[in-house]
Amino acid sequence: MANKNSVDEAVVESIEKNDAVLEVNNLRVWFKLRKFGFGNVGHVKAVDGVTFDLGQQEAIAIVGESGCGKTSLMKSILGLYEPVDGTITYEGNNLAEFDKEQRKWYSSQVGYVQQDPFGAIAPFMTIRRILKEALICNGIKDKDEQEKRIREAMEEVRLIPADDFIDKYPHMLSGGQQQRVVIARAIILRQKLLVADEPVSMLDASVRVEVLKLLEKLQQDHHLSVIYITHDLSTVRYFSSRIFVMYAGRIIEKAGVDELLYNAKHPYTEALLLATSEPEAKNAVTFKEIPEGEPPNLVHPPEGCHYHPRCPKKIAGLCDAQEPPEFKISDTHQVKCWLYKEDETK
Amino acid sequence: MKQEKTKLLEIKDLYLHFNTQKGDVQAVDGVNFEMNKNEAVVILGESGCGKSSLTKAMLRLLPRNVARYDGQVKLNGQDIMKLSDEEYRTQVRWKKISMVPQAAMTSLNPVLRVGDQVAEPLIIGEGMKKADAMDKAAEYFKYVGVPEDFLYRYAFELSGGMRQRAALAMSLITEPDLVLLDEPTSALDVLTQCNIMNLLKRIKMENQASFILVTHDIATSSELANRVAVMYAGEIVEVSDSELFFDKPLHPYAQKLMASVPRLRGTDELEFISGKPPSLIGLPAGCRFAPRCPYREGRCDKEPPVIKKGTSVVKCWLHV
Repeated sequence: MANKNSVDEAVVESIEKNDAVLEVNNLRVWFKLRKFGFGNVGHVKAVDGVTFDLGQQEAIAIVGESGCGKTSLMKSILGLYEPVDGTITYEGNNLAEFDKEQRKWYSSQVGYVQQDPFGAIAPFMTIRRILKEALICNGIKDKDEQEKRIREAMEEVRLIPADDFIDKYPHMLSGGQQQRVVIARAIILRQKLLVADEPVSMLDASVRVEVLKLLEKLQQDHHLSVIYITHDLSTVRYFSSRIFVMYAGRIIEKAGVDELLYNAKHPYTEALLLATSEPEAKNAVTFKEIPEGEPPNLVHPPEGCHYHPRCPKKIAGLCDAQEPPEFKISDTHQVKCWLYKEDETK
Repeated sequence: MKQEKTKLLEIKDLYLHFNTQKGDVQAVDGVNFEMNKNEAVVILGESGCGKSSLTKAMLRLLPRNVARYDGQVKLNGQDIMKLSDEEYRTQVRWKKISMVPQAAMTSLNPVLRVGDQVAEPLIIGEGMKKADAMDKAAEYFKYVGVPEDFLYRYAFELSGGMRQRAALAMSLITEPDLVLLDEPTSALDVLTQCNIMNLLKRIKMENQASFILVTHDIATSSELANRVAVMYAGEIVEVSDSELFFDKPLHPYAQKLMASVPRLRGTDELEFISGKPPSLIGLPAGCRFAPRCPYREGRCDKEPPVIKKGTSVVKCWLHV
């Protein structure tokens, strides 16, 4: 595994040089709520002011529970949702200004690995046909070229010997194998950016590692930038160099992997780390001290910091009134929490 | 000095096979295991190992295509397999054994108020009057941490965590001897999962409850387990105390499973098990894990015996 510190530095450097592959700036994705006859009665603020950069060949993990907005964020990056505010820039191009041609080009640049492998591939198509589809849609019509690329992609994802799988239908494959087909489809066009939405959460425990290791190898071999979305903190160490923690539409902490795992600052991150169990017998006789309650309603989220109703360290008058800005703990560690107001380093 | 513990459950040679066009699915294929009162046993296994079928076999919730269903299941000394279906329904199901099914959030009836559903086992099973049953339901809601006014709401008005708690209340309300939990936290968020596990721990300590937890999630299983039973291809291949299991499991499959669990802060390389579990139709003779086992040898072509090793039980030639 590459030395994490040097990767961090390289990333910071590449972002400063404006080499970022993806720049998301103050993104807001709000969904209108309509009540019959009454027009607009409010918005579900799924993504509420997200800013980050993704460097060349960088793998970042976006961690959060359900309803935090990570899927909406991802779909906006894929160009499927139109944000209500903010910009998404890919290699310097603003997604909102894309015409039809550019949008088509963009979809060949970004690979998408879905969560449910069986739901993501057509059950009535053979593996060859599934992978061919991506090629046909992007103008690769020559049959020999298609076959070559399909076999190459299958080789990459270790679905070998290719002949054993290429004529099969999805239901004939195991969950792990199906997910490899999904991954093959996401890299077959030599995509530069990979967005993986919970790629292993529907797979059996013993297969997850295999798929994560495959993704890591592909990232290194093809110099891919990856966004890995997950709710399972225990897997991020194996496959990312930076972690963003998301809560109720906002990224509340950003840090390198080791920094976050050993030196987390935000109370929500601390709770998540505490709640992530390691298999140890003593767990059965100890109670974990984590906050009760559930993530907030995104139509009427709490005032100020969205986490304050559940936070054991809340500062009355401040946390429940004003949204905290991003404070810098270091060049590679930022947190949105009023507790760190004085800790700001220049 | 060890106290004499009454065996709560003794399962001997339990079989449950399903009839299909392709052949018989040997979902539960000769399961033997026992547990004491106030114990939490985790049945650990991946998809397709037969663990959900095992819970169905214990509760006699059988589909129409049963090819084989026999064995001995002793609950507090009484063999409940010998009871007729009607006797089973009135005496055992939701009286002595109850269940929190997988994805409890979808198992709640969407057109009934939650309170009515939670009170139902008392009204139907014990002939309680509705008002008394609703009082008891309110008591249990309070116990599991759901506000009382949710009694009058519908399932869709509750969050995932609350629905799970409601389903748990429904399983506890008749004060059964044993509660089966099938993947109780798999669809929930990390923090909610943790809160539910804390709740189960509390119930176990305060109510002397006994649980069988069926799951594939090794890390979460450690939150409740006193004993761990590993299931593979319809059989139980190892049963150990949790202190022994999470540290040094005996069966090669269990060892590989433990080595494949991602650790939050560990530095070891993770292993994975290549290949996939065998289909439950037409299982080959001999050890079922042999094709994927790193320690495979000649005698693995014959079915391994069940060996007792201290407080553990393991089905593997390596331990003979």
